[in-house]
Amino acid sequence: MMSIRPHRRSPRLGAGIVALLALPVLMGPGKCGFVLDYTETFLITDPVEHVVLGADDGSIVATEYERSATMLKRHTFGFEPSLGTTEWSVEDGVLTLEARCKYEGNCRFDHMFELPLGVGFDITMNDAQISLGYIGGDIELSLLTGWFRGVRLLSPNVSIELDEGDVDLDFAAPPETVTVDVRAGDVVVAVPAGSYRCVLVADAGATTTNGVTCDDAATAVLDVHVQTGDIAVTGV
Amino acid sequence: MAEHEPRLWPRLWRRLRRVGLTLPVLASACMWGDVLYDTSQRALILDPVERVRFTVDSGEVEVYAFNRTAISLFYALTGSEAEIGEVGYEVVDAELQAFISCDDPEGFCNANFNVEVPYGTPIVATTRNGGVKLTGVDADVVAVLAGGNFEGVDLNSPSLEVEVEAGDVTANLLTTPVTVRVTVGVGTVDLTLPAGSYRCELQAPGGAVLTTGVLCDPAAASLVKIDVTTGDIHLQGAP
Repeated sequence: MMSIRPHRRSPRLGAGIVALLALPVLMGPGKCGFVLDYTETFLITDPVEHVVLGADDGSIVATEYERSATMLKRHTFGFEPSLGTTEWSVEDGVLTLEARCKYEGNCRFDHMFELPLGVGFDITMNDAQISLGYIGGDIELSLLTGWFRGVRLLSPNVSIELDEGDVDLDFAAPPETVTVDVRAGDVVVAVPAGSYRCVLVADAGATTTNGVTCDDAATAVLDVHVQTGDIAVTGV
Repeated sequence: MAEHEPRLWPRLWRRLRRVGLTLPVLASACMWGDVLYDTSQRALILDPVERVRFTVDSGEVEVYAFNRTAISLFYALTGSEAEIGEVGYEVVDAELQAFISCDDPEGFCNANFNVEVPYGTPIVATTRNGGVKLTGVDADVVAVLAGGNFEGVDLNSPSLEVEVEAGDVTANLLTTPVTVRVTVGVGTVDLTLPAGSYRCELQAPGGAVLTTGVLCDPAAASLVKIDVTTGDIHLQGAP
């Protein structure tokens, strides 16, 4: 009499199947599929007076000088299922850029600008490293984490909100208003020597001023608030 | 007699095991290969820079100076990972250093640099296999080339020092320089200066020296010193 042994699934095979099924969960959402890594460069001939940029994670580096067109380079890195809206447009002198990620941390958008003189920025990002040089227009920035560095700025008005990270501002011309609000991080401001209305508050840190005259009657305002971190203001 | 049902899973498992054993063998074979690069990178350097220095084993250097802020640096890299050493750029003590090192400058390893700088940026370039072209530069220039041509277009440099082992030197200066020193092993020198008086020290033992439109005066303030071992010298004054 023939007997047929009952078929038993290999325990190793079972473990393999479980591991395969668990892979998407272990990798995190949005990480299955192709990785996209590409750079786009645009020469924008429409007049641009202001840049409005809303992106999740990434970087910005920009400079301004006497030129006619705007050069924009954007490097995108991300898992294909994670990439959200990436677009830009120009309307009424406003260059609007959007770059979104469906899952936090799965994408990066690195921007480079060469702009005509006097263009301002309005930036909202989550985690970003931002370097703006020689900017002549107003700057408004809202960041969760990262850092901001301003080099030889000519901006009359600068407003920065940053939850965690450092701010380093170097002005080539006296600003009218500088407003910085940082929860955790250090703030360094270098301005041309002169009189400023100083509102410098470091809840848990040190505040130093050197080379500037803090005068409540001054028209130019340096308003810096840091919860945890130091403030250093230098007149050059 | 009953026939056995085909056992799908054990067969599949055996095949998977076979493939699983084969993969590491194939992967280790792949590790003996090479990585080939054909890529480019662009950077915007906001840091204050007092000088740009190129150290290039293989590749061209092109610099364009004009009224701008920051420095735009672009390089196109080709080569194999086995032959490419260090390539890239960094700012050290207010000096922007752009570089590529190759195990063999004649091998498959090359980076062509194209850099835009603000006026007033001195340039120092050393290349082993590749030319240098400067346009509009108005600060001091020092260029040392082993193999390759030097070309200077509409320069306003107070001091121009060029040393080429094998290659031609062609340059025109729009403003009277303080010093021009050119040394060439094998090649020709074609230099155009603003018309005027120069202290000329021109030597071409293995070629001809032709001077037109400039006045060579030992008492002149500006020095033009050109030495060519094998090749001609053509020094002319701009009309």
